[in-house]
Amino acid sequence: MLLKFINVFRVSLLWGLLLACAPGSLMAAEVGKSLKAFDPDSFEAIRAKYQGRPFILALWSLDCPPCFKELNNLARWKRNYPELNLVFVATDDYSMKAEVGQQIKAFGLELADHWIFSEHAAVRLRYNIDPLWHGELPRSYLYDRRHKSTAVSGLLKDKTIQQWVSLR
Amino acid sequence: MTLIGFRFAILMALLFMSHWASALSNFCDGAMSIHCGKTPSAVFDGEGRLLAVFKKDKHVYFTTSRDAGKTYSEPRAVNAVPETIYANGENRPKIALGKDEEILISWTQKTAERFSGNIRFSRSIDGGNSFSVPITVNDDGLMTSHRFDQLHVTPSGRVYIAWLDKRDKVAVMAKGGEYKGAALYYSVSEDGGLSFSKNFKVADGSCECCRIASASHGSDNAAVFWRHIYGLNTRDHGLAVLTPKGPAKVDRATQDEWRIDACPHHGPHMANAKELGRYHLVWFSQGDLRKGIHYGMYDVETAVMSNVIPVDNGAGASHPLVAAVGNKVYVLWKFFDGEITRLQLNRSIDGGENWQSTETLLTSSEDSDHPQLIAAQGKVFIGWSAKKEGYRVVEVH
Repeated sequence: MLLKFINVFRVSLLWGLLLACAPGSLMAAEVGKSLKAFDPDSFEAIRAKYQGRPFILALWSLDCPPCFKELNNLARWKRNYPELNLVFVATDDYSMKAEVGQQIKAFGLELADHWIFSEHAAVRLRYNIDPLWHGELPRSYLYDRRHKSTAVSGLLKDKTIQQWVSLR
Repeated sequence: MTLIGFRFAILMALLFMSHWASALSNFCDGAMSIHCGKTPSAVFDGEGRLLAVFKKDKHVYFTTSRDAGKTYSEPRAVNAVPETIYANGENRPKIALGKDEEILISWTQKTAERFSGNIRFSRSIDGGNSFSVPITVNDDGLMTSHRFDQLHVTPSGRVYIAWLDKRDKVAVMAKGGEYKGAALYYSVSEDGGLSFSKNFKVADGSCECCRIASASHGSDNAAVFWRHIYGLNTRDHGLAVLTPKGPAKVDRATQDEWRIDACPHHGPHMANAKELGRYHLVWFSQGDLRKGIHYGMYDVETAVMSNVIPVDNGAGASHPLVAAVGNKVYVLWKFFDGEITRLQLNRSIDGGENWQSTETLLTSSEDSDHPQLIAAQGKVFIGWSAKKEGYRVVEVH
C-alpha cells in the first residue's frame, strides 16, 4: 500500500515536472509515423524537429539482445508519459526494414519516431551521429531543451531517465 | 541515318557508358562472385590455392583462386538446400583445412525465433567438388541461440567448433530464474569432420554477440579467447583450453573493468606465440582501466597476461586481429577517420616486445567488412571485403 502510494506520488511528481517544463506543443500526442530511412542529413532534421524540446535518441539493432530490453523499457515510459519524445534509430541494414517495423509494432512503439539506416555507407551514418561512439548497443543520447546531450552506452536505467526528465 | 535512328544510337551509347561507369565504380557487377557475396573467409591449401567461402542469399558458396585472389573459380553452393545464414563481421561462415586436405566449413543458420540459430557444418573430401549434407552440431534440439561458431583445426587434425549457446538460459528461465548472457560450448571431431562428439560446456555467462577467437594448444587441443561477463556486468575476456574430454583450463584473461549492459559487437583475436602455451592476444575495451585496442602476451599455465601495450585508443579504431610467424607479429585493425576506413598495421620483429610505427596498408571509401589475417606457410595475408573495392587479398610483409 505504502509502495503504491509512493509510486502514485512519484508519478504525479513527474507529471508535474513534465507539465512545468514542457512547452505547449509537447502535449499534443505524436501521430503515428512510418519507419524512415536515416540519411546523412537525418540527424540534423531530427534536431530541427525537436528544437527547443527535449528528446531521447535511442540507437538499437535487431542483432542486439539487450536492445530488446531497452525497447520494452522505453515502451513502458512512452505508455506512462505519451508526451515523451522518443526517436529510435535502428542501425540494421536497410533490407531489414520489414523486421524492424514488426518489432516497433510488437513493442507498441508506433507513437515514437522511427528510423532505419539507409543504404548510405553505415560507417558514415554512425560517424555522423557521434564520432566517439564505438558501435556498442543500445546507445542513447538524452537531449535537453537546449539540445545539450548526454550519451549513455548500455541499458538506460529508470533512474537516469527520471533524472533527465526532472532536470531537462 | 534518320534523326530517330541517330537519337537511338546516342541513347544506346549513353546507356552503355553509364553501365561501364557503374561497373568501374563498384567491384561487384551483380554476378555470382566473391566480390558480391557477404563476409568472405579464406585459407590457403598446401598447393598455395586460396579457398574461400562467402554468403549470398540463402547459401554458403565455395570458390578457389590459383592466383592469390586475382581470379576465382565458379562459386559452388555448400548447402544444397537453402537456409537463412548469419553473415556479419562478428558472425560469418568459416573455412579451415583438415589434416588430410579436407575442406571444413561451418556457419550459423538463423532459425525461426529471435536470436535463435544452429551451428552447421559441412565438408568436402574431394577438393571442393562436392560437399557433405550439412549437419547441426549443437545437440540439444532446442529452438534457441546457438550462434557465433568458431572453427579450428589442430596440428594433429582434430576439428573443434566452439559457439555461444543459450540452452542453459532456457533451462534457468523455465524455472523462473535469471541468466546473464549465453554460455560457451564446443564439440570436437577426431575423424576430420566425419562425426562430432557430444557438446561440452566451457563456461556460463559469455557475452552474446562477439566473435570467438581460437588457436591451437599443443598438437591436440585448442585454446579459445572470448568476451565474457564477470560479476554483474563486466564484459572482459576469458581464455580456455579445449580438449576432446572437456575444457581443461578456464581463466579470466583481461581485467579492463568494462562494466556495460550492452552488446559491444567487438570480439577479440589470438595467435600462437613461439613458446608453447603462450599467446599473442588483441582485444577492444572501453573499461575503467583500459580503453581502446590493446595487445598482450598471455601464458595459459599461469593465467598471467604480460606486456600489455595500447595499440590504438582513437574513437575510430576497431576490430583488431593478430598473426605471428616466428618472431614476427602483426596486429591489424580498422580505423575510420570520418572519410575513409584504413587497415592499420603494427609490426614487431621480436615476438611482441617492441613495435614499429603504424602503417596504413589498405583503404576503403565506403562500407567494409571486418578484415581477416590469413597465415599460410610462413606468410601472412590480409583478406578484406569492401563494398566499393571488392574482396582483396594482399600479402603483409
